[in-house]
Order: sequence, then C-alpha cells, then structure tokens
Amino acid sequence: MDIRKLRKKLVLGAVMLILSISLAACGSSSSKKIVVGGKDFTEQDILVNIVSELIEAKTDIKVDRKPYLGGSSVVTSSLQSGDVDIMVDYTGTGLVSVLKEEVIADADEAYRVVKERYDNDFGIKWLEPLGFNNTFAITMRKEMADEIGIETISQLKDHAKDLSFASTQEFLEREDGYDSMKEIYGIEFKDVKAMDPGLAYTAIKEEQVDISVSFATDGRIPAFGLKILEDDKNFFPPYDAAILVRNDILEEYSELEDVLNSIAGKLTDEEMAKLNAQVDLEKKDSKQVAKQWLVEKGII
Amino acid sequence: MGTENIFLSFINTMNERWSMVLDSLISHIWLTLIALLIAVLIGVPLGIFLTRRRKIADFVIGVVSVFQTIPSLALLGFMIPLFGIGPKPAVIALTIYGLLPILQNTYTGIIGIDQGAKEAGKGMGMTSTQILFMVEIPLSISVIMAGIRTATVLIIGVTTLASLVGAGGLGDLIFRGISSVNPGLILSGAVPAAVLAIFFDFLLKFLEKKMTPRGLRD
Amino acid sequence: MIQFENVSKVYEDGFEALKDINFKVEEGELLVLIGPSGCGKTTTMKMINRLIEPTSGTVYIKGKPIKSQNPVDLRRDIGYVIQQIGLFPHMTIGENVSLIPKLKKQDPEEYMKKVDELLNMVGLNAKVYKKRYPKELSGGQQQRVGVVRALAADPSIILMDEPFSALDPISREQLQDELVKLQEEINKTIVFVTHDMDEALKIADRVCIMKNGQIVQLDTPERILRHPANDFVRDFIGENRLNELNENNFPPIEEVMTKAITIKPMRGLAESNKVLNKNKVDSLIVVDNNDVFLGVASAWDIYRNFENEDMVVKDVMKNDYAYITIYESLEKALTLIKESKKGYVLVLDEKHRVKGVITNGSLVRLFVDEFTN
Repeated sequence: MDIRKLRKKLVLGAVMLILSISLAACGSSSSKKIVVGGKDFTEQDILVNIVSELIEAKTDIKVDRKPYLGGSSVVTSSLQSGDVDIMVDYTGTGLVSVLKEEVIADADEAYRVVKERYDNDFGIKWLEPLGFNNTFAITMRKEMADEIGIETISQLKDHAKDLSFASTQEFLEREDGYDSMKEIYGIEFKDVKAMDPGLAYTAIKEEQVDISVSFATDGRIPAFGLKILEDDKNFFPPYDAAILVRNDILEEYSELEDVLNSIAGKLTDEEMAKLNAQVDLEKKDSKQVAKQWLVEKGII
Repeated sequence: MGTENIFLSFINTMNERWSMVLDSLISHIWLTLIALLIAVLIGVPLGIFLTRRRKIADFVIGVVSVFQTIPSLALLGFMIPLFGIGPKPAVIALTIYGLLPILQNTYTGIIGIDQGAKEAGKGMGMTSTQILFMVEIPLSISVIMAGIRTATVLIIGVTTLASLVGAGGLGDLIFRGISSVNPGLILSGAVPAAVLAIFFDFLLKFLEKKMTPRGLRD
Repeated sequence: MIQFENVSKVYEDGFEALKDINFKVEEGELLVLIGPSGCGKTTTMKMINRLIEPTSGTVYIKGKPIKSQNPVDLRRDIGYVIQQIGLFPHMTIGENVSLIPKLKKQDPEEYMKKVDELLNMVGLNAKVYKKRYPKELSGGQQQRVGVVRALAADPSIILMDEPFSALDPISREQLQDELVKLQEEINKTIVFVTHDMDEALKIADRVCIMKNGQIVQLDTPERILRHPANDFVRDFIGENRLNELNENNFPPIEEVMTKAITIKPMRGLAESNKVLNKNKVDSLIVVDNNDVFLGVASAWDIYRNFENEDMVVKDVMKNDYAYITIYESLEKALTLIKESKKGYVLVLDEKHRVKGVITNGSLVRLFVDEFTN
C-alpha cells in the first residue's frame, strides 16, 4: 500500500478515535454520576478525594472527581451552572468573593449569612462546617515560642520590638492585613520583610525571621515545626470550610446529606495541615491520604 | 476593567503612593547598580582570564549559563540558608543572572579581535599586559560594553524578584498589585521598571558609542 | 648578523617543522625564505624574534644566543611586518608607527621626526596621513605604514612575513619596487618570507628555498635560476621561468669577457708600445692602483705621440668609452659594441674597477664554442 493512502487511513482512524472518546465523555456525564469539583491547590484536591471516598464508601452513587478545575470563581460558577454538584468552600471566600459582602468577624454569623444567601440566591446548601478555619495565621518557630513563652498574638506586644516579621506582599497590601493587625494588637516589629510566601517559610525555618504570616492549614506549619499564635482578638476574618451541595442533588439522593455531614467538625486546622504536608512535602498520593484519614477516623 | 480605567487607577496609585514608588525605585536602582558592579568586576576579569585558558573556557561559561537557567525562586530558596534574607541574597542572585552576558561578551569580544593586530603587537615587543590594555581591550570594548548593557537591562528586570526575599524594589509594588488584583498598583511598579530599563539602555548605548575608539566607528 | 645553528623544531603532536637548520644572514642582506606551505619558512622567521622557540639548536644575533635575551627587549630591536598588516585600527597612523619608540621611551621629538621622514620616504605625506586611521587608507598604503612602523625604532633587523601577499598585484609590484629602493637607502638586514617566486627573485640578495623543514638551496637568485639544486627547486621555480631563461640563453658577461690589458697612468709611451705588442692588442686600459678605470689609450693614440718623450700614457688616453657593469646582460653588451663602433666594451664593477673587456674576438669565440658543443 502506498504511504499516502496509509497515512490517510491513519488520520481518519485517529479522528474517529478522538470523536468516540469525546462522545463517551459526554455520555458519561449525562448518566447518573455526581461531580465533585475542586480548586487548583493541594488542600482542595485532598478535600475532593475525602468527599468522593466518603460517598463511594457509604452509598451506591457513582462519583466523578474533578480536582484542579481552576480558581475559586471557576469552581463556584460550575457549581451554580450544574457542571459540578459538590464542592468545598470557605465562609470568607463565599462572603467576600462570591456575595461581595463586607467581612464579618464573627465566624457563626458569617456562616449563617452565606448559608442563607446561597440557599436563596443559588439553590446551594452549605452543610455543617468541617471544623477547620483556613484563615491567615501568625506563626513562630515552636522552640522560640516556648522559650519566650507566648501562645497568643497579644502576647507578642512586649517582644515585637526584637522580632522580625516576614510577610507576604498580599498581607501588607490588604486592608484587613498588616496595618490593621498592627493597630488592633498594638504591635510594632523590629523589621518587616515582604517576601514570596514560599520563601517566607524557608526564611523562618532558617531563623532569618522570627514571625511569619501564612495560612492556617498549610502543610509546612507542622512540617517545619511552626506554631500558630492564637488570634485572641478574632482579628482575622473566618474562613471556615464546609461542603456545598446543590439542593436538587440533595433531593435526588436523599441519603447524601447525612453521609456528608458525618465528617462535619472532624477535620481540625492541625489535621488539615498534616494532610496537606503529606501530599505537598511527603509527596503522597492525595487519594490515599484522603482514604487513610477517613479510615483512621473510623468513618469508613 | 477597561484600558481607560487601568490608566486612571495607575495615575491614582502613582499620586497616592508616590513616596512608596520613589522608595522602591531608589532601592531598585541601588540593587541593580550594586549587582551590576559586582557582575562587571567578576565577569570582565574572568572573561579575560578565560581567553588565556581557552581549554576551560567552555566549561566555565557552561557552568555560568547553567546558573542562569536555575529558576529564580529556587535560586533564592538556596540562598536563604546561606546568605539570609534581604539585599544580600538578592544582590548575589542578580549578580549570577547578570554575569553570563558580561562574561560571554568579554570572552568572545577578545577572542574575536583581529589576530593580526595581536600578533603584530607581540612581534613588535609589547608585553602581554600592554597587548591587553593597548590592543585587546580597546578593540573589544564595544562588544564588552554591549554585554554590560544586556546585563543591565536583564538585571533591572530580574531585580523585581528582589522583593521575594524582602529586599524591596519595584517588585514590591508589582507583587502587591498581583496579589490584590490591582492593575494600577502593578503598573506603578512595572512602568517605572520599564522606564528605568529604557533609560539605562539608552545611557549605556551612548557610553558604548563614546568608548568605541574613533578608528573603529562606522 | 643572524645565525641558525642546528635548529630543529618538533611540535607537541610530533610534527617536525624544522630539521637541523643551519644558515647565516649577513649584515645588510635581504634574505628571502621561500617554499610551499608547511615547509618551515615562517617557523624559521618567527624564531628570530622568539615568537617560536626552537626545540633544539641555537639562534644567534650578532654572535649572541637570543635564548638568553629578554624576548620583549629582543623584539623591540627587530622590526616586524606581517601579512595581515596588523595596524591597530583604534590608533591613528601616527600613533601606530610611533608605538615602539614610545614603548622604548625614546625622545618623542626625535622619533616623531623620524616617523615623518619615514612616512615621506614611502610616499605618504606625513602631515596628511599621521592623523588618519588605518581604515581610511588603501591596503597598499596600510602596508606602507606597516613597513614604516617596523622601521620606526631603527632596528638593525627587519622580519617580513608575506607582507605583500594580501595586496592587489599592482600595489604588490609597487611595494616590492619601493622596498628594493628603500633597502638601498637604509641597508638593513631583512628576512623576508614569501611563497611567490617572482617576488623572491625580484627583491632578494639571496633566496633560501625550503621543503619539509629543510633548506634545499640557499643562493643568489641568479645562481638558483641557472643551477637549480634538484628537481624540486626546478619545479618550484617553474617551467615558465626556466624556459624564459633558455630563450635568452646568453651566458653571463663574466663568462664571455676576456682579461683587460691594463696599464698604470704614469707609464711612458715606449713602454706602452711594448705592452701592446706583447699582448697583441690594439688598446690599453689605464687604471689606478685600485684598478679603477681612468681611460683607454689606443695604439693609434700612442703612435701619434710617440715622438714626444715627456708624455706618459695618461696624456694620450681618452675616457669617453662605453662600459657595462658586470651584473648586466650580454645582450646589452652586444648593443653597446654595435653602437660604439669601437669593437669592444669595457666591463666594470659597481666601484668602476676594471673587470675585463668584451671584444668582437671574445664574441666570435663564444659562438664557436656554442656551435662546436
């Protein structure tokens, strides 16, 4: 057979193959399967897997996992449009980024507002909070904190003049960031260095700075032996995580709500941070990490 | 956000924060100049040295180019345990990034000069120092200067990374702008950096012309 | 002036560039080193200013081994002209040519005068050209400057490494002519490397033909043309040149001329007559104690005044005679004999010393030899 004919056939074959795959993909999404979507970072990947494992273990419902869909707005709009059925979000994000509301300092109040508004506006239900609050966290090396004996941000006041602070650019720029914190807690650090978030961890680990700002569930906090100083004045806005499900899905699968609420309140800041560390730093598979946590907790 | 709005917010940011922009600009210039100076002080003599040890030249230039390819965040990450944070690791990283064009141009500039002139110099009884300063450097000065110019523009660009290790500079404005989705703030860092690059490019081009011996000009 | 004694050069890769070379360059001589590429001519030349060091053997300049001299000082006393001209493009012509005297810390006023003089000597108006840059000059002009630069510090030796080979044929011829003329004035010891046989024959006092790191023949151009040492030299000279030579196959004057019968100026006429008869000639050549030509006394001049006993041969001689120098061709001698109608022509050397005479008789003898051979 001459080469040109062969090539033509190959191309045709490839086109058919691609078509059939994409048709199959369309077909599967239209069959009875729940889509769990996630944002494009590790914690969300783990959460997608926890939710999926849980559903698969406790019900007969088929689950389609879609982690790393995109940024917050992509996943949220997918949930609203029906392309995604379940996601995990944070109260602060829902309130400020989605609903465009002012920050509410009280965690319960914030939860109440997003729950009510999502139900009314989008037909989406916020389930019970999972238990962790992925908000800003002021961290310090554990030994240092023990040495000077501080637990809370307020206690920093007397020591701040000898301490250097590594901040992200974002925290310096936000209205509810460094400037407000300084005011509310009345602290003035010896030195403030604006840094890359990742490098700030290296800097505090290498004792180049004493205090750093990060997110409460970052895996590097437990991994690098850092301690979160308690936000005793409730300065940072709440970012409590909860599972979000569209109401029509809850109606369709009546057992789903109870199953999902079975993990409510069981995933603390420390635990979430450790799970993050296992994936980010120990390079474990997020699905395995998710399953193991569910088993350890005796949930499945 | 429309173009007009971005422009307006840029103007507003510049108005409201001109002292921060000015501080960032000044520290940006300082970081650039110090890194450039060190890169010249290392690159030019090293380039000259390599023309006398051609066997190792490829290897050394290869190593320097490998350094160039290390992602900046990774490079800075390596630096923190060794040099801490602030201007020190920033200047070292910037020097590493600026070294290659200077080293390479010095080496190729001197290698590339008319062998006749060099041979004549040696045959006439010039010492190797005299050949270097009276023949090799004057004949390759425009190539060396072009390398320094490339390095300068490069360093001005890369100096935005200094803000990743707490060394300040215009990168502070840019990264703050990015994290707070504030195009005006991004521009108030990016525009001065661009203007700075253009200005230095122009200045060094002028110097390059001035330093090129008259007999070599077109 | 320059002497190579058992000089060999073996490169690191085992290539033998020179194999036990021995030769001398006399003071004031222009020696041309010639041969195919790789023959070792350039290596030989570059050993003189220590750009290349011999593996074994010794090079002497003025009797001193150069190995013991500082190469920089040595080179500053040896002019160097290279093929690529090698002017410094960033310096003016003035700066280029005065560089070595300046490095030698000579008096600026003095060397600037010298530089002007030299530039004018090679036909470059010093006032005009001193301020110019090399690129503003033609190739021929640049190489003139190259030669001047080599001369500026007044070295006793000049090395020229294929200096004219990059130039167009017309400039090359001009520069060759100028070099010959210049050499008459400055009389330096010059070692000149070329691969162009025409150039070698034109400018050389002696030519050193090299092959594979050895000297094949070192002699005057004339002798090399006439007596090539072997087939290689013959090939190298080229069939054309040898044929050319054969077409005008006149022997050199030296071979044709006969001994001149000379007499000192203060001899009496009777004695002169005796000499005439004894040698069976019709004229006597009058010379001083150094054999320098003074005049010719013919038999007719002597007999006409024979009665006057006070007269000496000096008084009767005439000195308007045609002469030829010993280096010129027989062809010219024949023309002179024909024109003078005297039947002979005198042969003198460059100091007007009488070497011999070419007569009708000697020409007849030449033809007889030619035909009977």
